[in-house]
Amino acid sequence: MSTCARNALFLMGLALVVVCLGRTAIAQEAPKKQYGSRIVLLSDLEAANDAEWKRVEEVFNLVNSLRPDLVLVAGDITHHGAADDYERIKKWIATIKAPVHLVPGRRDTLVAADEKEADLSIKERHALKITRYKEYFGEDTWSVEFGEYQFVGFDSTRVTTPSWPNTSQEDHERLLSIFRKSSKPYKIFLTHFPPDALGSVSAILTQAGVAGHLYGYTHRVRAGRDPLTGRFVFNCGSATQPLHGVPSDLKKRDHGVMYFDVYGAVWVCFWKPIRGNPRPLGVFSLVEAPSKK
Amino acid sequence: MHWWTLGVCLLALAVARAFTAGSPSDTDYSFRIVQISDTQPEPDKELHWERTAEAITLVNSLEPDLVVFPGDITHSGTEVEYARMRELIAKIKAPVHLVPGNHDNVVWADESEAALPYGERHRRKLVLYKKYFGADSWSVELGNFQFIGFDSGEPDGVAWPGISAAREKWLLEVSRKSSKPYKFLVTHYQMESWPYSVDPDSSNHVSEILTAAGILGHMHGHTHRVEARQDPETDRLVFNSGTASHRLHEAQPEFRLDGSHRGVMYLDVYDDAMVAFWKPVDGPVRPLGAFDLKEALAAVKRRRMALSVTE
Repeated sequence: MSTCARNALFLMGLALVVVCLGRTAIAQEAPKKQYGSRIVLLSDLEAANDAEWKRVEEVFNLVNSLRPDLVLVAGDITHHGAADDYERIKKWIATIKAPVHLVPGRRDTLVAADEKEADLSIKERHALKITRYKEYFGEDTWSVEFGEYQFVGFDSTRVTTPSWPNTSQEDHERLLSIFRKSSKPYKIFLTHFPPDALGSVSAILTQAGVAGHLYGYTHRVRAGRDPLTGRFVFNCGSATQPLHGVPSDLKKRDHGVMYFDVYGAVWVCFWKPIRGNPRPLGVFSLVEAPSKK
Repeated sequence: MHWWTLGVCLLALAVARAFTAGSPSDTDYSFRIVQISDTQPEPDKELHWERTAEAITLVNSLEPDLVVFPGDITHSGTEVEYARMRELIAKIKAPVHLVPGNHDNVVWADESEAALPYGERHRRKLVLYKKYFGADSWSVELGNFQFIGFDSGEPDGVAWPGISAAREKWLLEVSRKSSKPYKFLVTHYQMESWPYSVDPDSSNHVSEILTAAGILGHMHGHTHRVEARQDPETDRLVFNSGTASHRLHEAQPEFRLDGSHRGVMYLDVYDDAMVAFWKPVDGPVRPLGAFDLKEALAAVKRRRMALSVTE
């Protein structure tokens, strides 16, 4: 081996060692997190074309970059709940390095994917499509305990009347028993439809002492308090579509997700656009949420 | 070994940094400001000094980009105290900007100081303060922020808390000189009329001076109460970190749970918004509030317009 080649090899080795050492040293510089856990909320993915699937890719990379401890998806996971849409989105969801819990949205269970589905009554269509949803994502109503929190997901698109999504007495009793099974002090509800579209479910939430409600559907970013129920309500807008009627300077921004840094019973809420810095939206002390009636 | 070995090493380091910069981070704020005040360790009470050292360690653990220290650095402003505090403050791994408090240049250290009239005592003690911590008034810029600090205990103030006519002029000039929109004042005394003011009439006057200077935020100490709020009468954002080494004011029992009665505040800045946190020395972080700086500034500017109309 010539001197030149030996020198080159030596230097390549040295460079590798320095890169490794450098990365380790720099990684140790990173400030440590102060929050207890981080929850990411995303919604309304509904990708229908290449440009939107590209955004889906960006959003899933963004979610992982936030290093969440829990991820919640508030429905409209697909454009119109076709099997190939589910196949594709499920692969993306599998890339998230945290537990992911989902609820179906209007586009998943009510929008027709083809002419055959369009010919069905809305009730029949929901029955067909929710079965397909469950094949991919499991139960449409569930309860998950996480730290001091109980998260309950619920299919708010279920159809018992032909005109508008509604719920039955049976649903109410089931929901209440789900909440009562958990001794966690802070109960959070996850649906696709917003608080004012919950109808009689709202009273169940009050009865169960639910402190917060996470939802999607409107593509409007919101972090605040529902004036009627006193519950904290959060909407992350759409993960792929432009936002509607958002406060102050958010409207200029791109699609994104919401995240909550959890400090005991206190949540700090941020909205994170695909491009640009996160925007803090508020600090919410769940102790101040309405108590059980 | 050739000279270009060094070059290759540097290049490799740059590559490593580039890789790391692209990796995910838990802290995504633009910068972090830490507020620490009212350490005031009594010269012969080692426990106070130990607690102060703990608070300084806490400040470093938060990895701030800027530290403000709104006064009551020492207990009675003697040379020995200043020297010891300067040594502790030098351990902070970020730029630190301080203003004196009443414990630094008003409280007397001995009977001879007690015999002096306020003005003379303040003048003498300020000389000592400046020897150790530099100017008693300053302006620094960071991002979209201008931080303005001054000694609010000046004896020729038109009212308590003291802002003299000269200081009023200085404040207006300094604030005009900087194009930074988010102007934060750092003083020891509180200046808002609600709810802890000693003299409501004079603090209303002081409030108007601050509004005229376009001051959006006020970071102060003195009361030993933790605060992060928007003042309803001025729309200014008010921050108080309580005390770093003593017990918080008895009106705030909720902050004293689990022994969490001393600590510092930090503000994480995200473009046009910030989140305030209180971090006790011996307890978990408490988020106190998120503030929309653009909205708050618009409100302060409306008040400034109203002032010029009435003039």
